[in-house]
Amino acid sequence: MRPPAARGAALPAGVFLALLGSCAAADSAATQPSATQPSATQPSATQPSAADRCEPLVIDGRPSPRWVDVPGAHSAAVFVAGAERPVAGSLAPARPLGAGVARRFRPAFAFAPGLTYEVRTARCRASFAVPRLEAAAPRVMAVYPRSPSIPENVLRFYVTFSEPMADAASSVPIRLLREGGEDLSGVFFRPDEALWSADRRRLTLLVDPGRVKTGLRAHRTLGRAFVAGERYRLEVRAGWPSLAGKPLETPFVHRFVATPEDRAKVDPARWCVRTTEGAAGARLTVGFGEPVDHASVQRLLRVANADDVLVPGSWTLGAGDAQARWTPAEPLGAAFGSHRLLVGARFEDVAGNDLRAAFDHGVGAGRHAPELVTRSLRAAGVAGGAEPCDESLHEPRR
Amino acid sequence: MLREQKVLLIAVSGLALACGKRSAETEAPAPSAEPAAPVEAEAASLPFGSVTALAFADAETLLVADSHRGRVYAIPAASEARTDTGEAGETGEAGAAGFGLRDLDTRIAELLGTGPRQVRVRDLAVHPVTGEAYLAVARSGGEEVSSAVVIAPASGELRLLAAPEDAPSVALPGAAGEGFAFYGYFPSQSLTFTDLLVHDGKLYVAGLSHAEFDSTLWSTTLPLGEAVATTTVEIFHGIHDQQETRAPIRTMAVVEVDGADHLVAAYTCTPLVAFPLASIADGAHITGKTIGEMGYGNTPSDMLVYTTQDAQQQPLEVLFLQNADRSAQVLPVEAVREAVRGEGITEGVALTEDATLGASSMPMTNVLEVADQGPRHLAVLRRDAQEGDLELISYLKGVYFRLSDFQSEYEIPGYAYAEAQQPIRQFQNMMKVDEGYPDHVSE
Repeated sequence: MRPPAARGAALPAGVFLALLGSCAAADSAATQPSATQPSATQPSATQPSAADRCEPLVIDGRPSPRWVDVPGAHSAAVFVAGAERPVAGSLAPARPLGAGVARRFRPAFAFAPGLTYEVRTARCRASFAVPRLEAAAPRVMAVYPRSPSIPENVLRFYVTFSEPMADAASSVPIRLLREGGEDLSGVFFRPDEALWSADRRRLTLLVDPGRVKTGLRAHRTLGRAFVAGERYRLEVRAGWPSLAGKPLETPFVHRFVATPEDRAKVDPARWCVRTTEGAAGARLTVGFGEPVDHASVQRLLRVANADDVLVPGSWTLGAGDAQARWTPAEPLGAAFGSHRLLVGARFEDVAGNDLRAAFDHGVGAGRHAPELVTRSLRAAGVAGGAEPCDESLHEPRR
Repeated sequence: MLREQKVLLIAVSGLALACGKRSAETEAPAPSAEPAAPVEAEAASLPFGSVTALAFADAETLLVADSHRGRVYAIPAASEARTDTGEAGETGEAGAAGFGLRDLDTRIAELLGTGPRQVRVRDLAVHPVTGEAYLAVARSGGEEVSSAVVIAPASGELRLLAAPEDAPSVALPGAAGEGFAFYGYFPSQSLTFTDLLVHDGKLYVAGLSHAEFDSTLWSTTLPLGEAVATTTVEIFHGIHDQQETRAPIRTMAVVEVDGADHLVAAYTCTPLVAFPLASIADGAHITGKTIGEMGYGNTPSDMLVYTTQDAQQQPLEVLFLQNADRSAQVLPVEAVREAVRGEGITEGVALTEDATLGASSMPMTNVLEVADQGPRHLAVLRRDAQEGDLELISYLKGVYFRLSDFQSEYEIPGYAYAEAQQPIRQFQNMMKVDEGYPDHVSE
């Protein structure tokens, strides 16, 4: 980023001028003030006289500014308003708007929206407020598994948001309750750092394995998290802020009933795989017979053509996460006849069972299973599986 | 040996009779009239994604584990004590000066240009020569959550670690057991690294993959190259009475047993498990020997092995375990060795059963991170239970409490130590100086 090239009025786009600020006037020296911005405080012991006025600051116009130009100074330091110690950053000569000198301060981390900063030079002080971000309030999009009935040995939940989210404050923003009141929030595995996806829109909640598996003593003493037949609700509470600082306005409640445990390997041979070809183009639908892991569908299900080349497409999970539909990115040149469905061995159901072994397996089970399982796809119709294609949910197996 | 150590501890804890919690004293430096020069980030700084673990490879190199990027970086860390970093540099002995920073979160927030609620410290390591604390900090604000390594000398004048953009690094494979690129395509991986350990020229990294929820141990040689070995880990957890493959190692250390180095690892719900280092190889799936159950309902946060003194002033090698939900535990390393030589725990352990290898509970609570700070100290990051302030302080090894946390009878003006109490007075005076209160020394 180059310093402002023009003098006076002709400022480059994306740059805004801070109001003139002396120390005495610093409280009001905020740019684009908003009703919610924090006020700057001035330690009176350090105020220079009101005669020492700073020239107008020039501030990077991005929502999280990455520099501030301080005219008329050879040296300057930037503080969070009211702070005793300066913000880390670097200072370099900048091109002044008028005659004289200027310095550009680049903070090590971008100035934070919603905060007020204070520039101190040997001669004067000025402050500037960074406006809060214009952002939509976050919403919970979904809680996975979305199925209203979930096996009692469910391994993980995902909560997806409409906006990138901040880490919640100390109060627990997600509660898991048994209908009737018992708080089960402690069953979630507690990592040092919340398990966010890279875009901070998906939070993974892992149920502590000790509360899922069949270890007898742990269950006798601490209790298994879920019991078949009982009703539960997972609540995402309001107030949780997005990265932009907007709180979640509407709490989200996901209700489900626990069903008997599922301790069987995932078996793609039992899946109901259907292909259709119509005006809308070729479609592929897979009925899993049980709710499956939402991330597994996105990561570990693929379609390949006869040449073993992957065909780009996207999966949409439906029917309580027990069914997924694949739509090719471009219309298929040929029908499904020569295509294959590829399933990674780590494809999991919601209880963490995968193609190799049940989650709750003995030592070393499934270690030598193949990494990939394929099913061939036929043109329009039901693809052959080992069993008759049954689109209803399977009875839980043990 | 353990009994001898307990005797010392009882003697020490007797020093703080009639304890009452003393309010934290925050010494705010007077604002200076001249603006301080901005703290320079010395070079183009690598933007870290999420640093969750730190360890020094040597006095020149800090290893930084970035969970979001799935990489470990080797960052230059100057070994010359800076002239402005307080007593540690002046004495030339690492960790000679204890830490006494009561307002660490405010200081970090000011340095990073954000508010105290927007900073979280994920890990702590102490430079082996300068004694300065290196803190892995997550900073949120505006449009992103990012990460920095902040250097804290005893003086409290914090600065940022400059991380060159061309710093050597290695990528850690995201999915345990998947040596090939799945379908030639990896979506963005979600990893969390829980601990780093440097031993005998090798780096060990513990963590889990969110997607797989598999406990994984990566290892590579130092200095960082390309080759990374991936090992999956399985344990028997006595309190859960089951084999566990997914819970990640939370913290680990190395103990030598009869000529063979063993990795000693602690997990959530606190099983203590040993693996021969020689068994850790690429592609291996290893099963550890469970040697202790340190307590249910707890997540261990740091494990250290060091030598302190027993009651007879003889060297005593101990294993120190800091816990999030229980007080800290200390046990002689010899007890670990004995357990490794034995059969291990292969059957269920009741919650009330003591399988802690004779560990002593130490009065260290509200503690987030602990790091070895030279021969005498542990550097400790804790939160004040009342105010919530983040503190960087030091505990004396072998003592495990801070006199200045308490008000005792001894502090009442006019208190006269009897002749038989003179050793207590001397010990308290040593602690007062060590904790930064030389003016409280009793003549």
